[in-house]
Amino acid sequence: MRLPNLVRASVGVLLLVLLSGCVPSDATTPPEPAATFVAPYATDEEALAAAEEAYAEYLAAINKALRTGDIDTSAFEAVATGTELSGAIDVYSQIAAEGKRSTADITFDQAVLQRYSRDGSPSEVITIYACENLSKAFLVDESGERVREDDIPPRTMQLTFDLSPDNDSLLLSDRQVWDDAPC
Amino acid sequence: MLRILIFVGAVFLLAAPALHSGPTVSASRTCQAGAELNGSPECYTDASVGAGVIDVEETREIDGSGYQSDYVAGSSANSVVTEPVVNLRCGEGVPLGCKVIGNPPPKATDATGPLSITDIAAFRPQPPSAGMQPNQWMIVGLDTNFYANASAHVVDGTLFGDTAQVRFTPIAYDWDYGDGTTASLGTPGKTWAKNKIAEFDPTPTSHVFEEPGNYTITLAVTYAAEYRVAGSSWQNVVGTLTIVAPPLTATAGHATTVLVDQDCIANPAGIGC
Repeated sequence: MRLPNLVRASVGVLLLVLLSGCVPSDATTPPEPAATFVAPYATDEEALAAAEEAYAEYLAAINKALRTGDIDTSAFEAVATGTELSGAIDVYSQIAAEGKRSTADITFDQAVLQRYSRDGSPSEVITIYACENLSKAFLVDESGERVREDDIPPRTMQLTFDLSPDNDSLLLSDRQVWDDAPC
Repeated sequence: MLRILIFVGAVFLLAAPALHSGPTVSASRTCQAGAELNGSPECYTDASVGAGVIDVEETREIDGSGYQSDYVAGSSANSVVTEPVVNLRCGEGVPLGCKVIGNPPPKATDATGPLSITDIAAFRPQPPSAGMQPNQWMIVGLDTNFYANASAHVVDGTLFGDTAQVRFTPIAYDWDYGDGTTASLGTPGKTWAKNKIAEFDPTPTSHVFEEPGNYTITLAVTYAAEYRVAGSSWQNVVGTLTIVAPPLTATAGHATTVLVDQDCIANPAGIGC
C-alpha cells in the first residue's frame, strides 16, 4: 500500500527529530592528531622480522668492537639510541682501552614479539623477547687470560626499539636482562 | 548517548611468549653485554658483598683444606682466621697474584678485621618500603606488580672511637603475598612504566592472586654491610641484616565490563552504575 506523501514526510521529520536527540548538544569536533605516525609494518610478523634484523645489526656492531677494539661511534649510532647508545659507547670504549678482546660473537635466537605499537609514536615502537648467548664471547686480556672464569649461560632479553628519525630503521633503545630465565 | 565504562581501565593482555611461561620470578636489569663480559660490578646488583672472584695480593702457603696468608689490607702483626677454600684455579700451588674463586681470604681480627653484623648494631639502615601497582587493589587472575624501594646507602657513625661509615647494600627481597605464597627475589622490581611495558603485564616481581579477598602483603629486605674507619677502604661485615617494610593491604576482585548510560563518576546513580 502506498502511503500519502504527507504521511511519508511526517515520518521522515519524526525520525530526524528522534535521531537528533542522540547527539549531545555540546558535541565538539574531535581534535586532530597532533602528529601523524604511520605504522611502519603491516603485520606483527613484519615487525618481529624488522626487530630481529635490527638487533642482529646491533650485535654486529658491538661484536666488531669487542673483536677489534675499534670503536666506530657512527656504527653505534646506526643501531642504538638514547641511553642505550651512550652506554654502549662508554662500555665498549672502556673495554677497548683496557686492551680486552673477545674471540667469538654474541649471538641470539628464539625472538618473539612482545608488542608492536601501531598507533603510538616512533618511540618504543617494538619490543621483543630473545635468547642471547654470550657464552662463547668471553673476553681475554692482553696476556690472553680470560677476564671472567665462568661462562654466562644463555638468558632471556627484553629488547625495545625506536623508529629512526628517517623512519627507515629500528634503533635499540632499551635492553633488559631477565636473570634466572635461561633459554 | 550510550557509553561503555570499563571499571578496571584498559586491560590489554599480550600473548605470553614461551620464553616467559611459568612463574615470573626472574630478575630484570639493564646491563651492557660488554660490561657483563667484563665482570662489571654494576651488572650484579643482587650479588652479595664480598662474594665472587677476588684477587689475593700475596699468598704464602696452602694445604689441602685451606690456606693462610698475610692479608695486606691489615696490620702485619694481626692474627689470622682460616676459612675453607672452595676452589683454586691457579693450577699447582698458588703463585703470587693467583686468582681465587670462592671464599675470600682470611682477614685479621683486630680493629681493622672482620666485624659481625651485631658489631655495627648502632648503625641502622634506612627502612625499606614496598610499592604495588595497581595501588592497594588487584584483579583476580591478572598480574599485580610489586616493587621494593630500597637501595645501597651509607650511614655515618662512630666505631672504635673513630669516625666510621657503614654501607648497606640490599641483596635479597622476600615477599609474602598473604595468599599462602612467598617469593625470594634478587631484584627490587620497578614500576610498569620503568619496565616500559603495559599495565598488568607480567614483571619479574609481579604476582597473580587467584581468589578475591583482602590481603596483607609483606616485604623483608636483606642487607649486606661493609664498613670503613677514618677513610680506610671498605671491609666486609660478616652476616646480613633483614628489615621488614611496612605491610601493604589490598583488595583483590574480579574485573567486570558493564554498559552504562553516562559517566558513573559524574553521576554514580546513573543507569548501570
